[in-house]
Amino acid sequence: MVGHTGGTTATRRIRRLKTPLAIDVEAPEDGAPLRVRLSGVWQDATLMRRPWRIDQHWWRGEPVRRDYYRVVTGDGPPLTLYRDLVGGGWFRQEYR
Amino acid sequence: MRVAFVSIPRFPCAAEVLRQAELARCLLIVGDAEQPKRVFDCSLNAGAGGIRQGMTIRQALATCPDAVVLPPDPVLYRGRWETLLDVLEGISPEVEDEGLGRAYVNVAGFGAHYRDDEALAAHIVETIRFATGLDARVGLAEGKFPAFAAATTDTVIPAGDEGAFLALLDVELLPVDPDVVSRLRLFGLDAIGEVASLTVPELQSQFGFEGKRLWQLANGIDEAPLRPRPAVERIESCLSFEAPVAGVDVMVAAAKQLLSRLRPSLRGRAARELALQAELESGRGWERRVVMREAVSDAERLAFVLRSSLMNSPPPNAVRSISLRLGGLTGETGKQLALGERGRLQQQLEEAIRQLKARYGYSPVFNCVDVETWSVIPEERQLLVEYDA
Repeated sequence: MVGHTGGTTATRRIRRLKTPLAIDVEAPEDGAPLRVRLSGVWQDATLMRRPWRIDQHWWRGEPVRRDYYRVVTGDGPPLTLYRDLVGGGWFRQEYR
Repeated sequence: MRVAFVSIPRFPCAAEVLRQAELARCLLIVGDAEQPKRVFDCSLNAGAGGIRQGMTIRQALATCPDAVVLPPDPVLYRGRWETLLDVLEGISPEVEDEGLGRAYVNVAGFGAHYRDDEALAAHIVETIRFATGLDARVGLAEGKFPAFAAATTDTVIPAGDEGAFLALLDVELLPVDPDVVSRLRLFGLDAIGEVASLTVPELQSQFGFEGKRLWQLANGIDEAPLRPRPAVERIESCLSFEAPVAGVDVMVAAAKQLLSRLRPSLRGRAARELALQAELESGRGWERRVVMREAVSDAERLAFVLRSSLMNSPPPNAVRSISLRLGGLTGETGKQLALGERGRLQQQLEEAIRQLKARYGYSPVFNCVDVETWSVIPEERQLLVEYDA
């Protein structure tokens, strides 16, 4: 039998890449975002492409249902936002 | 193989006396640099007064209250010893460095050059005295151990008489494990001749594999080869000041001056090691050795390394002279980046991460690992795993 070495097991920290970040969004119910607050400033959002929905893991009991929107605000870079249809709220996320 | 063993008894004390002649009349103790301070070496008269190597300085001073205690000066000792080895290499090209004050010299085939072995031994002693001012003991015999034993009495042992010479000497001299010597004494074997009178099987039955070697040594047979010190090209230059100088800027300027002098000798090669030595105002030695991760030939980089080293740890006080030696010379002039995962860039990255981890306690660098690249949920596609070099 192999004895205990007495050393501590080396552990490595693990993080998810592309973790969603909560964001303030003004939008009609079940509609596309109209305004987005970035760095404390509300900016108008323009839809760049048709929204898309993902509906995953409904078979696991922890479903993931989101409506994604690709928008652009003023001169800023395009953003990918989603509305969480399960827990509610808006999030910004790197999608590619 | 005819071997000469050259011994400078109590070498650190001899080197100190050479530097300060008045110390010759004192009971001299060279203390150890490590805590608790112990006796590293002592003069002959201090030894006669009961001082032994390894005892604490406090004990030594209790034994000999009049003794003079000096801190060790390894730079001085090493420098003097290297000089002596160079002198010996002028006599024979094969010299084995056995540590401070002990060296073996291959003198096989020297018979035609000297009247006899006594003349050869006298020549070695005289040459050392003339070049370094040190008094050496020399023993000549067939093999290393008989030569070592012969040096204890400044003797030349004719070929074939080794066993007879060793017979009356104490077993303590045998170059074997101290436990073996203790067991020999337990058996009542105090003289080497008593060990030699036993047979190989008798010794092997008690000491196993070591038994045969023990028998050979006791009979004056030592087949251990002489390991000459490697020939190393040294590029060095020295700068002496008319009056002792202090200050990092002066040191840096002097070091750069030395570097510019050594540049032509490099001839396009790169150096991996820099050794700065200085003689302090107090007469003691100071040394700073820098080993670089890779050989460097660029003058600016070498100057930067010198400057950094001097800024980090300058000499403790004013210096009389300073010397610079370049070592680890290689012909490397360019860098070839490896293509594999373990390439030079990879190694540099790992080294950087190790340093970051040492600084912050964790690695701030993460490795991106594909997990479910096909997933439509972005955060499930990849994970960031801490990169641990």
